[in-house]
Amino acid sequence: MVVVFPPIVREAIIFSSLLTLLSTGLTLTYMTSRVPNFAHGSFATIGTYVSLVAFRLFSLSPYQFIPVAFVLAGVVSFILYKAILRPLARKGASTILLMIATIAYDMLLIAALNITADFLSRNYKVTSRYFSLKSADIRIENIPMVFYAAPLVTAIVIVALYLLLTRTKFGVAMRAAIENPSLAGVVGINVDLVYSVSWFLAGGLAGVAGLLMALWFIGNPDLGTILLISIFTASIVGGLMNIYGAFLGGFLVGFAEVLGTANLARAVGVWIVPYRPVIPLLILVITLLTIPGGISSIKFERFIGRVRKGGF
Amino acid sequence: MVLDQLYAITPLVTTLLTFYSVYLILALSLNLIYGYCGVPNFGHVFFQSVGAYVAGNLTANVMNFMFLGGGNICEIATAEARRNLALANPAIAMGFFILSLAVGILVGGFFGYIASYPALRLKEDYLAITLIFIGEIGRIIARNEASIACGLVGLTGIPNPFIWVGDPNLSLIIYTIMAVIIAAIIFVYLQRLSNSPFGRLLKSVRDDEIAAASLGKDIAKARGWAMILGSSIAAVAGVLKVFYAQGVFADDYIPLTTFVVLSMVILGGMANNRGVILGALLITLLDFLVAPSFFRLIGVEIQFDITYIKYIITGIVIITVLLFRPQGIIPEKPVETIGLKIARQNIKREKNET
Repeated sequence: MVVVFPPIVREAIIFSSLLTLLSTGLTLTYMTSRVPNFAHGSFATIGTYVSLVAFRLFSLSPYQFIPVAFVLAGVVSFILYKAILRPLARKGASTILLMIATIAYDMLLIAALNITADFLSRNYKVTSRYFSLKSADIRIENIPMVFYAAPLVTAIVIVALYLLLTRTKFGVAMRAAIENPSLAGVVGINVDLVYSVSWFLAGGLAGVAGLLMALWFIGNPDLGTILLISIFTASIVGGLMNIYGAFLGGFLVGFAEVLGTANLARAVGVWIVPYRPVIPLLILVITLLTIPGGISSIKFERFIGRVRKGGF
Repeated sequence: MVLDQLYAITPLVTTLLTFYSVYLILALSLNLIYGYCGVPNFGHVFFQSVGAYVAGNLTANVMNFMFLGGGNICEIATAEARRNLALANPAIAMGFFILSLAVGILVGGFFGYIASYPALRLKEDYLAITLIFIGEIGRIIARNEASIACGLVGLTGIPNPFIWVGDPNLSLIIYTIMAVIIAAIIFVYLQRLSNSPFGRLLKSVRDDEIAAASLGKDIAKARGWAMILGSSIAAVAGVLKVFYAQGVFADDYIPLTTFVVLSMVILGGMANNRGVILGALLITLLDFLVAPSFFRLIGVEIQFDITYIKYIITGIVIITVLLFRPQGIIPEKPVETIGLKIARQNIKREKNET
């Protein structure tokens, strides 16, 4: 039996899965170094351009380049941590200064991506701005493979992260380093290594998300930066201090954005479509004003306990 | 011969100086909000854009309504009519500039007041995230809503207040001198403000709000006033830019501008207005040197899109300064109080005696 999804639901599922991948990485880096990483969107754009290069220059399926996107974006993310954020944090820089540093790094990435795009279009005659790679995708019963690949990759990542954090020694060390870095250091955990791995993983996941994104969305050097607001909202709604919160936030924000825009466009007219980023902004503001810790910070046990006792 | 050459480069020099004034005003106001008070207002460009939209929208609509019998502000014909009106009538030309400045300051302050609502409640990193995105949404709304500033096309025909002088270069020169004077007035005002008890209150709120609160200081009020003052001053920068460029374009107010301004503050030295003057000068010069118009002037053909060099320069400046000289070129100095002056005099006297 084949379940046929309406195109808009299909779009929402792809978008939400990729958003989840991106916000998982963002939450991971926030949990380890306590810095909102504004370069995260551009890590994804790196993946998008890996996709373009794979298909147009090497005539290969972008899926074969998933490891390349993972490693490339991971290394770029690792450099940000190792070369900039760690020395700054050691000097006792405040969160805001660290954040400014990530924004500055993002500017370098945006410039590099734009120059790459110019280079590709000039030397290889490739459409490198506002390009679509939908034709590069494999079709399964007339449904693009990214529709299966995006949720699948997200599910694998969530399960793998869960197993890593609970079943391996390294994961336990990671959780310890997140909970209390100085205590973890005292008992012999290499906190710096743990943080480096987190940054590498976060960047890598963003790169993979960006690669898959190229198969469905219109690619451009500012693709990731435009998505930043959705990524941050997804992470904050889920809770910046809970790695699984990003999963919840990603699907909530993704569905709200895609379905909300589509329904509003039907109800009031297509002029509303450019205002799509207002939806995540509203969700962000409402979350920060009501539950600043995100959904995962709500103590449901206590709430249920209160209900059972019969008194609020 | 020499005069002719001077005449030819006049627009370039006035543009440089006016943009320096605009950037300086922006950097000084961001320094008040972030440097002195510690509120990470990363949506600063939004308050500049508020001033710009007020100036453009008010001037175009009121001119059309009062003197030209209505008409769509976005049409080229009405833009031309507004120019001609200002050419013929000095009082109208200058009156609209002063009106825009006054209303811009008020509206900018009002938006600053609204933005201080989250500023008093959120943790600083959440606040910075929210303000960046609010600024960006403001731009998205302005570029899609034609009634603000004609959307993507941009609103043109906002006449230079000195257009009636006749010679276009002369009106540019007068306007530039005025812009520099306005920037100087704002500098003196902020310098006095930051050395006043209010300035010390802002620094104390930034350094330790619990300590400030325990001494009976109203932290919310201090932050709120810093936001209101800072954003109304940023609106002045917006008004100045619009009347010089004679138009409003929503895409001028991208988040990058905030960070270019922030790089001036960080480079010059946070919480130090003198440092900001230097920082703004250095970054504006760099900005100017990588502009296509400069390369055309010296006759060099550039093979790639040079605008991205600006991103690279801003990024590298911020990272290098943060890593190697976080206090900036001119570090923060103690507040010039009367007590400090007397103490300095005493030390000097003692030295002279020995």
